[in-house]
Amino acid sequence: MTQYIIRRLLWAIPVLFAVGTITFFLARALPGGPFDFAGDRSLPESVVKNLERKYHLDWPLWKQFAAYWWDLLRGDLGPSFRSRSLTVNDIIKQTFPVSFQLGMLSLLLGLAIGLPAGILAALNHNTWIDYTSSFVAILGVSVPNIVLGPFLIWLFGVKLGWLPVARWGADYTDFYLGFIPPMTLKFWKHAILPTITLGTALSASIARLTRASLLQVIREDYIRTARAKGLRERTIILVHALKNALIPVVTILGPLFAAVVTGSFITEQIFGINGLGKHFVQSVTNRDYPVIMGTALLYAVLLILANLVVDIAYAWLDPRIRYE
Amino acid sequence: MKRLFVLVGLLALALLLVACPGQQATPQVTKIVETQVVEVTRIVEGTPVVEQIIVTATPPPAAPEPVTLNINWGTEPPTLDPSLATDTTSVGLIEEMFLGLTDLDDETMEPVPELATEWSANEDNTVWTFKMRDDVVWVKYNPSTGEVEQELDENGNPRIVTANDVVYGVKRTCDPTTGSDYAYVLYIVKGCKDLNTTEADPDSDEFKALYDAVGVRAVDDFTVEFTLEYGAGFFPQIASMWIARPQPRWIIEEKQERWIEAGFIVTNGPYTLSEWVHGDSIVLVKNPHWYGWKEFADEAGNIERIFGLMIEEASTEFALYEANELDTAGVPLEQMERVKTDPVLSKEYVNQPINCTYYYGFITKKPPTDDVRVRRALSMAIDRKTLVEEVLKGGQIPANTFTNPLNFGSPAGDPEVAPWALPEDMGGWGYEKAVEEGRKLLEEAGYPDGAGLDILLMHNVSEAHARIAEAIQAMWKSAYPEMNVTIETQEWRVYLKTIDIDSPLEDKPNVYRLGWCADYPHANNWVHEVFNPTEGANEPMLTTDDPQVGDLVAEFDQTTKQAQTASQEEQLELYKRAEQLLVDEIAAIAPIYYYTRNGLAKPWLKRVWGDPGRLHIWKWSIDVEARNAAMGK
Repeated sequence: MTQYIIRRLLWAIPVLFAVGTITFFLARALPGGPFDFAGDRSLPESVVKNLERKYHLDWPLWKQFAAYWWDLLRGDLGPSFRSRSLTVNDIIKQTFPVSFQLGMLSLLLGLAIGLPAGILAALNHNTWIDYTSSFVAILGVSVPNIVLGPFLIWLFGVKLGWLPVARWGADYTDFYLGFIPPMTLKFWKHAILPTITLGTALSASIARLTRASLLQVIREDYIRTARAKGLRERTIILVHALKNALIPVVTILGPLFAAVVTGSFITEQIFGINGLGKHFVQSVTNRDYPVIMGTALLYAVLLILANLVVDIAYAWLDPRIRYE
Repeated sequence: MKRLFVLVGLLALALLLVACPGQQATPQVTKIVETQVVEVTRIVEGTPVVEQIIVTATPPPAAPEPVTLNINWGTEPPTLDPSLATDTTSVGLIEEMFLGLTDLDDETMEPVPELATEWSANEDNTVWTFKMRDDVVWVKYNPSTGEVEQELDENGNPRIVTANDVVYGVKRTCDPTTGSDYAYVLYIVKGCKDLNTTEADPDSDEFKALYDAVGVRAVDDFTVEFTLEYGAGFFPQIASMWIARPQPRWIIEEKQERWIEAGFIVTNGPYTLSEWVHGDSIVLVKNPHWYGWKEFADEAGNIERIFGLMIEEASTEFALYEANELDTAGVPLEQMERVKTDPVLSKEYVNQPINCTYYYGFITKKPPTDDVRVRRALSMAIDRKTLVEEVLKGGQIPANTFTNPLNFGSPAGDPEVAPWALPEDMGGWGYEKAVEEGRKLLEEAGYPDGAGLDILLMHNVSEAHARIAEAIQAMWKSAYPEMNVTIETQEWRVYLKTIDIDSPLEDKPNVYRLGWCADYPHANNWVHEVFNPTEGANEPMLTTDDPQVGDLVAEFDQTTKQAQTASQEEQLELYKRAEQLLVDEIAAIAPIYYYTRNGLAKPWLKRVWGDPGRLHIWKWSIDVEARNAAMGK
């Protein structure tokens, strides 16, 4: 197993290099450079040239490419073109933990609601429980965050005044926020609404997947065999059916995890949360190459790690899977 | 079921552990200072240790809460460096912290004294001398004492803002290694362009010679003199801009790019930076050493601390305002109706013109908009009044000029300029007559009823721009039923590249959308800098060899150049002529509306509504008791 993990981690290096290379050239292939315009006015060529020189964009592309990897190896992700006094390291250090806290809480909420709902629906196939649960799940998938978020703000923030309208409740005393949610009232009051907004959408998809997968598994031969052996229904479901049914759920959990902890642009925008999500989107609009690279690579690293954990979980869920 | 949750928990934990290496337990200290016994809880390596310490010193009396203004800046400011700022957020913050030689009046937009008490020019306006006050100090916020302290030099004397600081600031903007986007605005200063465009090595003698040759010098400690490339009556307006402000050389040279961070930044204005959590909030505190608190005591307000958020979503900003977490805010479009009719909100609502113009430009090299009659007909068939009243609904003003009325030299609303763009009650033709005339023009051009006329209209991706484009498309279709209008959108930077004068013509549309906001309130910043065919950005691609309007383009070119050195009265005439040419005779653009700002302020906040880039928060006041009462405290 250890060997397997090491091999997978070594494989990650060429994968990351490929991701970085493709992103590097794709970003530069976009029309318009980072310094051609200030707001909506085009800048004189002389001014653009000075800025490009300052950030070494006047170097030949191969040299910029080599310099980027050289800096990256030393842990330097480069300066941000938009926030002139910040580096990409600063941005990630400060915003990634915020997004991580929000994403993790939402994912846990999604699982806490989605799994039981999916299981109940499957076990009570074609009963009112199933229909209700499916209806709620479809509702959850189809009501977008952009509707649910403002509604929650309006109801709990403005009308009832129970919860804060916006922002994240962790104290930003340092760039390093830590990834574990602090146990303060302020934090949880701020966290409730965004977590619900992001979590319900996740729970809906998890519930649907769990239901579908479990329905398929309980029709398998070995479940019939288990029943024929006279095992208790409880044991059949929990020990035999569910474990198998979880394989597809766990499979999506990997990429889902990587996606939510790196920030949700919409939820973070609506709640004014200083997360990583907006940097994914805005760095592209701003042609902020180092931020584009930094966020893409971070996402790739998380995806690789999450998928590795998923593969390890397979071995536990399905005894037929063994890694040598 | 239990195992299931254990599994999920394990998975979550595993992911958590993988993703957060090196998590450290930070000691947290809580103090209770009411009694003589202070309880200190320290978390040492994860184990809480409670100690009781006897404190002999009596705790200081609780300082009264500073009067805090809660405001939303709308986004993370890209910089607070006066040489680098280009956007309204950065400029707005710089405005609170750094003084300019001149300031602009909230109402008239005329230059008024700030650092400079008086200024004068030589006969042909090429040499300007500013006499500065001698009692402005550099200050810095000290986080350990919580006080704003005067900066001291090596000998322990307070550092005063001098003419040398102005010289340094201006030269730093011109210096190519600074990488200032707005350096080009200072190209008007002699030698600034030569320095900014040099390829010479920054350590070479050639570079130093260029640096020394920039036309700004300290005559004495408090007199600064500018030599310009050409005579410019509007230089006092330029002198109010952030790129020409004094800057603290010692701290910039020590901290480089980081000098604008809290704890480093040295400022001289009414407020200074105390805390900046990037992407989340920025806190400014009152600079008690600023001369204005005493000198303008009758005008000054009571704000001691400005707590600024960076909420980008307009509806969230509005919700924060409704929850009393902001004292002033903007109105999102979808809330406009409600704000205007709500008994409480309508009293807090302010609609105010701001110095920006929304316009459609025509690519004059691309058929069929290479025909001036087509361009004029299209511009005439835009029903500006209906557009602002029925589509925009934010109190915007129909525009008949490019230069916004808030600028010196703007003939806005003058029916001698493009009268067809003005409604009848403003002395114009009104829409019906304009369309009639437009039809005649199109028929002359060979497109009766618009038949055979194919127009590509392009704008950058945005819901608001799409609404306007669709409305104008409908107006054109109803005025000229046979014509064909295609709307295309592009992502912002792609779009700007497409319409740039140097981009290939085949990629360009016939009609493009843009807005322009003043850097300094003078027509030169508009007609000359944007459309002059030789010195401006010139997106419509005007050339003097145009078969139809070449002579007019030449006249336009001469007019905006002449205006730069003309006397004030002559300028008014020249800029009016320039607008007639630009908007009507050449019809390079169709001005659509002048912007307004829709703002809200709580009843306990007394504020000025001047230029959005110059909030002048030192003039604002908050009635703290009224606010506390409203919030149920």
